Order: sequence, then structure tokens, then C-alpha cells
Amino acid sequence: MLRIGEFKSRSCDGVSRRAFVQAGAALPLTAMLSSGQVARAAARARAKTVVFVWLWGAPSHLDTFDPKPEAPYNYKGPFSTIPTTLPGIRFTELVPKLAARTDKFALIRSNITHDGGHPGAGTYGYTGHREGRGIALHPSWGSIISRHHGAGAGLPPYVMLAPGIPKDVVKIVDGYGGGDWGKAYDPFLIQCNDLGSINIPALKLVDGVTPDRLAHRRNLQVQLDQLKKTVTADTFGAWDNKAQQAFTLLTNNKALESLDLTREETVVREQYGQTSFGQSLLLARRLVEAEVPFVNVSWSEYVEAFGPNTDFGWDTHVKNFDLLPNRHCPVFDTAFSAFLDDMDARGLMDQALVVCMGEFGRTPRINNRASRDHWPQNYFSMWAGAGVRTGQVIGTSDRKGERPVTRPIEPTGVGVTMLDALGIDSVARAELNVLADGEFIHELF
Amino acid sequence: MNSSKRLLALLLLCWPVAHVVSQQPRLKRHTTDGKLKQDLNFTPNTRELVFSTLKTNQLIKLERLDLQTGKRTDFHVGANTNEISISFAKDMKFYAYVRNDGNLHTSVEVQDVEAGEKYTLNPGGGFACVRAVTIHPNGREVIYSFPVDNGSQQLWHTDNRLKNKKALTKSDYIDTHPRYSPSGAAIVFTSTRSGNFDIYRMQADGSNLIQLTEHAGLDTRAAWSPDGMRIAYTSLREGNYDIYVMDAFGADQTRVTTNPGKDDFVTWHPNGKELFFSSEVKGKIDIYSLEIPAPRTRSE
Repeated sequence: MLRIGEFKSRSCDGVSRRAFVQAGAALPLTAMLSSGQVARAAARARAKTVVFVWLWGAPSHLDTFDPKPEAPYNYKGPFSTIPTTLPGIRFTELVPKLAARTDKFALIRSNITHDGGHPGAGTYGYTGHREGRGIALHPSWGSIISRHHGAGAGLPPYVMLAPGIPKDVVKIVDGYGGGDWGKAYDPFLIQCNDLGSINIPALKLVDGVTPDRLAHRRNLQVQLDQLKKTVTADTFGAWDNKAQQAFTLLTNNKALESLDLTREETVVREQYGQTSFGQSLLLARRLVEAEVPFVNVSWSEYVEAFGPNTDFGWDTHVKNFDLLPNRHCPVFDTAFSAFLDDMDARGLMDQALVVCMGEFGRTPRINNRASRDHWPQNYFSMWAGAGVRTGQVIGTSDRKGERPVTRPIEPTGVGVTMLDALGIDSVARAELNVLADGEFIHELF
Repeated sequence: MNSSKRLLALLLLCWPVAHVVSQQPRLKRHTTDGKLKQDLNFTPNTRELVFSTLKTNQLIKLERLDLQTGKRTDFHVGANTNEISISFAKDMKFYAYVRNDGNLHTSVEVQDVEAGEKYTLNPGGGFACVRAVTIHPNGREVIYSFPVDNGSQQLWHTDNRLKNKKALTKSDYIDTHPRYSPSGAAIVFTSTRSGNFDIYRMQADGSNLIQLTEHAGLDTRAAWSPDGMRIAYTSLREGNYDIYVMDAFGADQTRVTTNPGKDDFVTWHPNGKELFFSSEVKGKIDIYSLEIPAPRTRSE
């Protein structure tokens, strides 16, 4: 017998207990969860979907949702603050729409992480663990959910809406996918441009199908009809997991419809803004309706060309005070506000947990390039849906925004809380041998 | 109330509404693709509008727009890296812009059009970004913004070969978006000296600094009218990015756009009667223009 581990957990009243699970060493993990266990998890779940909005590059907390107007000038920066709908809570002037919607989300101002580099902090943000040569590479939140829930009728269980795997100039975030579980649990990548056109890279893996855009549905249908006639069980079995997912998706009309933004009313598409990020958030809402268990929208490259062939996102080592008011914050303020409104208006917040964050914050002290660098000691996250008690701020940072003074929240806590929303509690995590540590963020509920 | 009194009451009720409606500027749309557009500037002689636009998620290119035909063409054919913040000399013999030539690295470029020569100012190694540039109307001098080691950002002056660099401002704050006045005698720029972004002016040699805007909201990207009598700029003071106009010394600050989206990057048509700017309408960012009334105040 193999002892899988001890896991911190949460009871309904927020008191921690420990769960301990043993399982047969020879038993494959995929067989560990019986259909009954999955059904019980579904019954426990407060949501069917997690939407994980990833602000790659790491936005400045001081210049957005945790301003420090009383700090010295070389900390507080040049942006004024504005009141929000929460008494005594102020944001900077760069996010006025979200300041008017604090009733739609809960804000955490005391996130912390343990790596000051993008890939490392990215892996913390996606898995709760560090990455590095010679150590275990843990599966990402989406991969855990993917394994726990299994494949649905048409859409893959873990969809990443992004131009590609988040990366900086050196390397990708290792923890984006299945890690040591293998590529079978990697995200299914869907690219969405500013016009809402879709590209599915995995389609290139499916012999006989080479459409770049699903917008050309008529041509696609002809190709699919031809393909269905030629694909046998043997052919299907020979494809890798992503090609199989792509084929399954393409041969399921309902799943395909979920990816078709032309089915949206024009006014709705306009509200999200004609940006890749905005249209991706709209697509995420459609995937919530389709009950895809984990949808990751990554900001990566969706903001502004920062440099040729680079992917800096919110990584404003330079031009922080130019880029934020010019492009980043207006795009985010518009798109994320529209997403919250839309989800709320359609009653989807009851079935989805929305989490929005980057991999860390940015230096409270302005750097020698009149900008801000990496700051893992303190950053923010935004939470909505799945019973989250919105209209509150959790955690407080110090007067310069350097460190939390109350309730530091680790990436493992973020992960445990996300998984729990989908019914993956401490017992299920123990069975999957994931997230032995991690404190549920009980203040959210 | 008899019928005549009712009519009078109705007229009184309607008059303010009618008055406001009649004051609404008529917007004219010049592009329709909806992609990011920034740093609008007219070529002084041909009256073409040149601006930077997001071509792909990784590429911002300079384009020229022929207002007569609506035709758009690449300003630098074959450019494969980001180019922003273009500024023209009056005779078009020189122009300056900021070019992205590496990871988090931008340089100043000056093009000598007649000689076909290009001059480059590399601000240094590592992460080093020039923010914005302006060229003197006579084409012989350049001012750009770039940080210094204390975390501030200053305006720097060079000749049109990008040599003989000297600091034009010395402060502990962020100075950016410089623009030479039409005569070249004065400069308007954005600074955080007041604690937030406000608009200032000074003589071209850096003397006689005057703060033009004092509102707590962000005021930035000022543009001189062709006669030097007025300044248009972007302000966030009402909770939305809108275009404002004031006289050349900060008086009569007037909001001229009311679009609920972001209006920004204003420039004047050479005729001095129209403002061109980027505007986000129904989620799309395009170039719009509006006519504005004639000035009433003193010049630069």
C-alpha cells in the first residue's frame, strides 16, 4: 500500500481538519475515482466551471487595486485614486468601471508567492509549487480538474484561451499543464483574436483537417464530413490526446457552437471591446455555458506589442506609467467589467468561480527606469461567482504596499479554493495526490 | 394652466435640452477597422494623417491616412518592429520617431528625408525605453523623454543628428510627451511635479515653467493648435478619457468630447479648425474628427 499523504482541509465552519488516505500502489490514478466518487464530488461542488483569468507579466498592485496615496511619491506613483462602491475603499483612476462594480467581486490584497521570476512564479500560480530541474513538476489546477472530471461530451475539460503557453524571453511556464502526469492533461489551446476568430492549433494534428479559422464553417463542414468517413477507431486511437480532443470537438455541433462568437449579439461583443483579451473573455463566458470545467484566459500578448516577438504582457519594467493608462488598464477595465456584468445578467455566477490574478505584483518603490519591477511579496486577486461573498476586501497590505499585514494568501490557498469549488475536496486531492498544503480561503464564502 | 402657459412651460423645459443637443459636436469617422491607434500627427505640407496602429498582437506600425480618399498605407514600407510617437519638421525635411529595437528597448530615430540618412540615439543597454519625441518645426532640434537613475524621467535635448545631448528638465518627477509649439519658441509637456500627471509649458530653453492644468485627474498628451493659440489634451478628470481644449496659458479649459469610451491622442488638423483623435466607440478604436469653434484668447 502507498500512503498518499496528509492534507489540510476545511470543514463547513472553516475549521481545519486533516484527511488521510491510503491507496493501492499499483492502482493507476485514473482508476482511483469511481463514478460514485465523482458523482459525490459533483454534489459537493459549488460550481461547474472555474474561469482563471491570468494577467501574465504581473500587473502593478499599487497602480490598480491597492493604491497607496499616503506613501511617498516614489512609491505611490502618479495616478490619483477614486472612490469605489465600497465605503473607504479606493482604486486608482485607471480602473473606473471596476471601481463602480465592487459589488460584483471580492478583492484580495494580500496574495504572496515565492519566486521573483515569471516562469517560476507562473508555475507557483498554476500549481502551487516551484519548478526546477530534478524536482517533481506538479499538475496545474486545470489538469487536476481535467483528470478529476474526465472528458465531456465534446469540449475538452481544460481549455486555455491564449496565443500560446505563457512564456518570457527565456522559457515557458513549466507548470502550465499536466506536469509529471503527462501531456494528456495539458490544456487544450484555443487562440482567439481581436475579431473573435478562433484558431485551434491541435487541428493541425488531425490528418485531413487544416482549417485555420472556424469562422469558415461551410468549408469546415465539408472537410469534416469527408473526415468522418475516413476516420476509423484505429485511426482515432493512433492520434495523440490533443488531436483526439480536437476531432471530438469538431464532430460535435453543440461544442462547435460554443466557440462561435458570431452567434453573440453585436452589442454584447462590443461591450467586451475589440481586443483579443475582450473577445477571449466572451468566449470564456460561452464555455461556462457549455460547462467546460476549467477555462484559463491568459492575457499573454493580448495587450500591446511590447517588442518584436516577445511576450511581456503586464511586465512593465519600462513605460509602466505610459502603458497602464494608455492601453493595459483601459482594455482590462472594459473587458473584465463586461464579463462580470454579462455573467451576472445571465445567472452564470451561480455555476462558475471566477478568479483573476497575475503571477506577482510590482515593486512598490519606483525603479530607476521610472517604472516598476517584480514583487512577489504582495499582490492582488479578484474573485467572483460560486457563492463568493462579493463586495468585500480580504487582507491588507502595509502602507507602502510591500507586504501583507493581515492574511497572507499563498498560491496553494488559491488552488485549494478553486478545486474545492468544483467539489475536489481534501479527500479527492489526497486520492489524486495533489496539494497536500494549502489553506482554503474561507473569508471568500 | 391654460394652453399658452403650457406651451411656454414646455418650451422652457425643452430649451436647455435643445441647447445642449445643438452644442454636441458632430463627429466624423475616418477609419473602421477598430484596432488600436495612437500618436496621431499631421504632415504639415501634404496634410496626411500619420499614426501608429496595432497590426498584430506583436506589431505596431506607422501608417498614413489620406483624408481625401480614405486610403491607408504603411509609412515605412517593410517595417517589422514597433514605431510610435512620430513628429515632423514644418518643411518635412526631417522627422523623428521612437523605434522598438529590442526587448523592452526603444531608440530615437531621426530621418533626414532629402539626404536619405537616418540617425539613431540608443539610450543604453538593457531595459531602456525612450518614451516620446518631438522635433523642432525648423527640423534642427529634438526633444525626447527618458528616465534617469533616481527613478525620475526627464526631457532631453539634442540636435537633429541626435548629438550634443543635454538635460532640458531636472526634477524628481516624470516628464514626458513633449511637443514643440508651432514657432518652436515654447514646449508643452506632461509632468507629475504636482503629484499626478498635469500639463506644463516652458520656453524651448527650459525657462519660465508654467503649470497649465491642476486637476487631480490625469491630464496628458497636449497638442498645440497650428496658430499656437490653443492646446488640446486628454484628461481623465471626469472619470473617462476625453479631449479638452484650453488656451495656450491654461485658461478656458473646455471638454470637447463626451463619448463614454476612451478619447485620446488628439492632434490638430493644419487648418486649425478640426481636432483628430482616437476614440473607442462600441468597443472599436478608430480615428474621429470634430470641428471646434474659433479661439478667443492670446497666442503662444
